[in-house]
Amino acid sequence: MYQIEAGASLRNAVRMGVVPWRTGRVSRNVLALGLTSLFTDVSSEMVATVLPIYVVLHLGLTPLYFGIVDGINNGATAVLRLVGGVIADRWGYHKEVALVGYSVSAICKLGLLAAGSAWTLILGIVTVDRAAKGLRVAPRDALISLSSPASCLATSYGVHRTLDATGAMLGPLIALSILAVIPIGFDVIFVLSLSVAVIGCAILLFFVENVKRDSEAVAATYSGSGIRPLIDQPGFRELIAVAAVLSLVTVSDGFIYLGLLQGLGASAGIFPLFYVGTAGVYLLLAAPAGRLADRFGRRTMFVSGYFILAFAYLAAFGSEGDWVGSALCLVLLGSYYAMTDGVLMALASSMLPVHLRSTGLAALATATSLGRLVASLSFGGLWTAYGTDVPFLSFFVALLIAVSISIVLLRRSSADE
Amino acid sequence: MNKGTKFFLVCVVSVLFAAVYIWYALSRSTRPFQDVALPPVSIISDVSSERETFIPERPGKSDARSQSKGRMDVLDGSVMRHGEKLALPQDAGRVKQPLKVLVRHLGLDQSFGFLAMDSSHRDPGGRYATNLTCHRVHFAGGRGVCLVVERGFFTTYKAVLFNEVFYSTFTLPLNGIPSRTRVSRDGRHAAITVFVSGHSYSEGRFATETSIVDMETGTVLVANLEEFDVIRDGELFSVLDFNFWGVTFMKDSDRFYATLSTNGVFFLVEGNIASRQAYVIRAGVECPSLSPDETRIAFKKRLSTGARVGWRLSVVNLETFREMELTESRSVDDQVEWLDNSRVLYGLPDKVGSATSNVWVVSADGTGAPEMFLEDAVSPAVVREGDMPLS
Repeated sequence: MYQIEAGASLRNAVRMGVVPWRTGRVSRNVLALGLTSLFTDVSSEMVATVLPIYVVLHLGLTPLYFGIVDGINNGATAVLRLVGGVIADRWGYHKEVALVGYSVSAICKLGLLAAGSAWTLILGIVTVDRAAKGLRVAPRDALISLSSPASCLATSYGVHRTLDATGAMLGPLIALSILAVIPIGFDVIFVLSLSVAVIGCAILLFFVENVKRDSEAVAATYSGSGIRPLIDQPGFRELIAVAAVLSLVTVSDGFIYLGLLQGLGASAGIFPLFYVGTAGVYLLLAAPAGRLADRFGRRTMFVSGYFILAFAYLAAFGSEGDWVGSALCLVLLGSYYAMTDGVLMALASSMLPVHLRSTGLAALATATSLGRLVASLSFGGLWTAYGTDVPFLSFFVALLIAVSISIVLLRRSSADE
Repeated sequence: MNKGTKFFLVCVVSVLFAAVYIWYALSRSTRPFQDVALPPVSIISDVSSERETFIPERPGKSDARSQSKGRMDVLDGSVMRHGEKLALPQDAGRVKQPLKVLVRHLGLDQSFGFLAMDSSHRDPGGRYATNLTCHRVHFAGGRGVCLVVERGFFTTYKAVLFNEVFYSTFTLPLNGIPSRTRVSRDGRHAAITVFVSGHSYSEGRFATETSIVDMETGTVLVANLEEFDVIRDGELFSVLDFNFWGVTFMKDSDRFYATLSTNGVFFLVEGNIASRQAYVIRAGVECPSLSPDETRIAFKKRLSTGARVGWRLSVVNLETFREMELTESRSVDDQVEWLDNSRVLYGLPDKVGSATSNVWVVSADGTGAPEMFLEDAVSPAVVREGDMPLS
């Protein structure tokens, strides 16, 4: 479907600033990064699926303790994400930083195998793995944008996210099938995960290339890198504010699934069905949504995505055990991801100069994840105090307000340009 | 060498590595999966018609001893024996029929996971498979509960109620991973505890749901014990994070003991199905199991050693409330089953992370050493006298 372009024709396309609407070409770098993500996601999701079972049921750790460690890790990830971004930007080592991140994660799989039942070691390895994930995300996303012509940024992210989501769907399926065949095959899962991760790293090593920056940009690197100059970028300040405001009313999928589950009165066994449904819609729509965003405006697509999320909340509130309503809710949720995740990165990339690309994307991701954490905490509080209806309705209203604020802010930022 | 070739080599090496490891993992197992099965329970009794006793010919002893302990052997092509024979119960004289225990069979063979009736320590070679596959099982008063995990693309859970000839009478869907089940002495009521996995999403901690079922009609009497009014020191006690588990019924089958956990404390409560109330009795008692003479409760006492949870098997006297630790020093995560009034049965994994478990027995008075009772089995349910026509 997507043709691999030779480097020369890509440069031509960049120079001309035109990419044909129908053929929708995506650069070879983006495709290779997408495949890297596919393989490494298969690898990490395989382990992530079985790790709670392994640690809680077989090593006797309390779920609460595991949850706390997980929470600390998420905080550490945010910090390392910024570090990874700054390093990649300062020396232009996007590929190298990403490769270190991916390789450390692969080595962690080997560590899990060696750790056996030493649970402190396992928790340590999980922490290192998360840190490595934090390190690699921003340079990778920056490299995607640097390898794509400005006119098809969102398409590139869309294609990358499609491959990424495919890996995230395959991983758990593979892990669960292994456990079904070999009931205590945790070590087999770790080994297979390692082998898949190595292939992912090899794709990155052999088929992804750093994008050479022109001397102007390199000179700028030494004059002003780091986090501070980000704020001066036209439009970016508004964008980060918009992303933060919107994420403050974006709750974790888990709550939406739980709301649907209570409405349906169904067994928790169908929980994975919700996950697969959402991911399926996401991976189907990510590339087309990116293409549409490139064509008709990334801001419009991004804000519309959140508008759709508001209706996903409404569907979760109103479905009341109706299967059609619940399915609609999942479709809306998947569409929201397809319309916002890659599109936001594309939007930010278009505003950030080359030497600030990684740092900017990392800052954006950090602001978003902090906002979501606050959202989930307050949603959980409302849920505990008032039951299901109040949080969904109030978040629906709050999200509509946030979308209105975003429209105003984004209109101002586009006027700046 | 160009990049494509290098990449190809890396792929080949990593795929080979994985393949070799999987081959090694499958072959290193000291107890490979055996292509044998337990004999069906029907061979010891024609359960569908006459319900008369039929004891199979005992296989020749010389053959039986030829294999080492711990192996599953096929004798005469039909009957499987379990290695070592255990000492007879001390109060054997009072038990008129050979002791039978229902278990989840965990031998690595074709019958793995099936509900089996075991009488191997009295009737050599005696473990017989039923048609039910259960993760947890309990049986009393001629009725049983079998908690089923149906692995599929999406794993689902259900409870199968069965009668004294292992025929399914009712099937109820379950909300989560099976944890505990108990049937009241007269077979009227059953309690089922599951881990509700979905609920853990919001809190980062697990939740349980315990329901009570009418075994005669297959209806749910109490969907969740959290609906009960909980009374502590004469006052209504109500907290949001209540979790109930580990029900054990009294003889009248309307009253029961259970664990109520809230805010990290584990209370022993006494519940009443008719009045839908539960009274807090005592803290620090988890997974109670009432002795047949109803004088004591065996339970697991939580030992907090940092992040790791351990449980010490203990017994509390219901008159004096004196607690006594049993001699089992390993951590036991099970609701114990009383073998008789002096000994308790419980499951322990073969080794950490193992798929197989064994049932152990230890004296309930804090003396003696634990002994292995049944190999390759878990979730023991002792068939009490008069409960079952099979003998």
